Amino acid sequence: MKQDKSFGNSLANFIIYSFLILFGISILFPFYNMVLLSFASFEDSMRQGLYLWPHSFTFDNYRRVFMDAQVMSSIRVATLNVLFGTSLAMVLTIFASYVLSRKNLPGRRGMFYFIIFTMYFSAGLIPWFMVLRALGFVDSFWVMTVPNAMSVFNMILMRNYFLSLPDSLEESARLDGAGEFVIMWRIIVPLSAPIMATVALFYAVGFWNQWWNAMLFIQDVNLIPLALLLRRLVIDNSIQFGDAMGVAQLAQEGIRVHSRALELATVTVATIPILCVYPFLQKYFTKGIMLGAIKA
Amino acid sequence: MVVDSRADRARKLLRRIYTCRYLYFIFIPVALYYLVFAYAPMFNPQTGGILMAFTRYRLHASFSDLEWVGLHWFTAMWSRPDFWHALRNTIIISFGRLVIEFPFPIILALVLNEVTRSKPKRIFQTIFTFPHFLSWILVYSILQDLFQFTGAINTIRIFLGFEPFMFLANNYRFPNLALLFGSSIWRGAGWGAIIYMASISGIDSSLYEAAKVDGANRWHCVRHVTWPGIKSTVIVLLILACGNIMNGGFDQIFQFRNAVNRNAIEILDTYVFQMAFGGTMNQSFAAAAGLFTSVINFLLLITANKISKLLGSDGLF
Repeated sequence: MKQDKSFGNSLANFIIYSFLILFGISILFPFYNMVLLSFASFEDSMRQGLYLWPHSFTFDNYRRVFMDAQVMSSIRVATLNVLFGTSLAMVLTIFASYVLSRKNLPGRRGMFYFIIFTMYFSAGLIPWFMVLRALGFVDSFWVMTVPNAMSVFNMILMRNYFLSLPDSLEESARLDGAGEFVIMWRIIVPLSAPIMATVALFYAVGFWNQWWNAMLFIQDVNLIPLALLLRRLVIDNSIQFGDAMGVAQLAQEGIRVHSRALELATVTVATIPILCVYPFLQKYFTKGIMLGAIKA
Repeated sequence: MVVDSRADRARKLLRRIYTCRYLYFIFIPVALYYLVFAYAPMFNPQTGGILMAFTRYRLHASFSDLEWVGLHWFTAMWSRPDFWHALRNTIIISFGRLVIEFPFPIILALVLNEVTRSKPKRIFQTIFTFPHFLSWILVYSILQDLFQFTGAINTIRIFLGFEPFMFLANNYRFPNLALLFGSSIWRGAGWGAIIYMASISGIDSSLYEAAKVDGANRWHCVRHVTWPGIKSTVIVLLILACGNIMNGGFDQIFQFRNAVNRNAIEILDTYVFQMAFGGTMNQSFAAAAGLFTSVINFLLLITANKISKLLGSDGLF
């Protein structure tokens, strides 16, 4: 195509790129600020206001964060949540998507509405809370994963993908005498690698960020996940970095750390895993993921 | 021979069900999941499920022992100014989101689409979509450092000769809404733009060629080719957003809310939480307020879906 070299076109390009670059900077700057301050020394953390480039660089804040028994335990809980929650969620989601994508299953419409209805109407917080409490989920590790083990949205994404696979593969397997389980695990799932990766990563990020169930049901400090710990540390300030051992050890070495830098170091620690899986997710975004017609 | 054919059909159906029997087995865990975590809360025989809103709840009492109070909690709710306050806030915030947040992803997609080189386009998109994957806890933690009283924004304000301002703790409506909408755009606009990008990529490129032959410039192309191409997507999403008016955005507001700004941004969902777990601990009252929100939400969604179907789109269900 011929490039338009007119003044109007250059001006349009200038405006477009300025807009995008400004928006990009507004997104990146807070992260930059966070990382910078998480490496700042005590003196630099004390100074307030703009902190545009590094004046000091120290790992003390991170050392202090990783010395904290509470932080380490919350990272462990969050990791276990991701591992267990994602596995359970994937199994349930594959089951539901596979069954609901079979075209000649009697009653599949009803089964679909049975699930979809829960997306549009819920009993509300209190009745839900009562049921979980009656089931013994208070102070249980499982409360952070099991009650949230399925998302209707992810199920629909996966089901739409299954529906788009050609029927012929399944038919030939059936002629060879394969049963439903074999077809599901050996044929449909391996053929759906992109949607498996996408949905698994959606779930993993969700479980890593999970805090709501934990806040409602968990009192045991050993079961607090990282997201909830962060909320208590940074947002409602109901707890502080108070692990005596870590403070004593750093004091012995003559190192002082600022609570603001510690908080930002913890936030960075919580952000990094998402940043690491994100590029893999991003690949699949535009491939018609969104707004697949949600039809029975 | 009507009877016969009906029996025939029944037999055929039974045979089809029988051949699919393993599929039903596979569905059992899924059905159990929804029965326990979605339907049991609605029809919980122990506490009455959603009927709890019509009783005077006592801890460890079974439903049959609970006193039936009818619409007591609903009338109590309607006579409380704080309920009306939360309802009004919810509607103001939702409308604000419709007017201010909703168009932003569309503009972003249209602008991104004007970037013809694929590499910068991908880089921009990667940056814009990322914050969507951070929870509101992380977003608030990250932004807090910039917006606090001694933070970067206030440093700039002082430099420009303004007074520093308590962005995170003030009870004025406008600054609080600006912060809510701004941070929501910051986190969600890139993700929201994906759907419009997908819809733009579905536009037939020959339309652009034809427009160019007719002497159209870039603005004309956006105005007369791209915009009409995504208009139906915009309308569907707009209608669905209208169906969400009773949700002010709990996840976000729950993090932003504190003792100072509570009055300005308390919405129904945070109000329900407050009534159930903070201070008064009136579970039945909270259940009533929650049921009210659920029912209105459901009706709004059904209506929104109906309208989008009447306008010729697929709708959601």
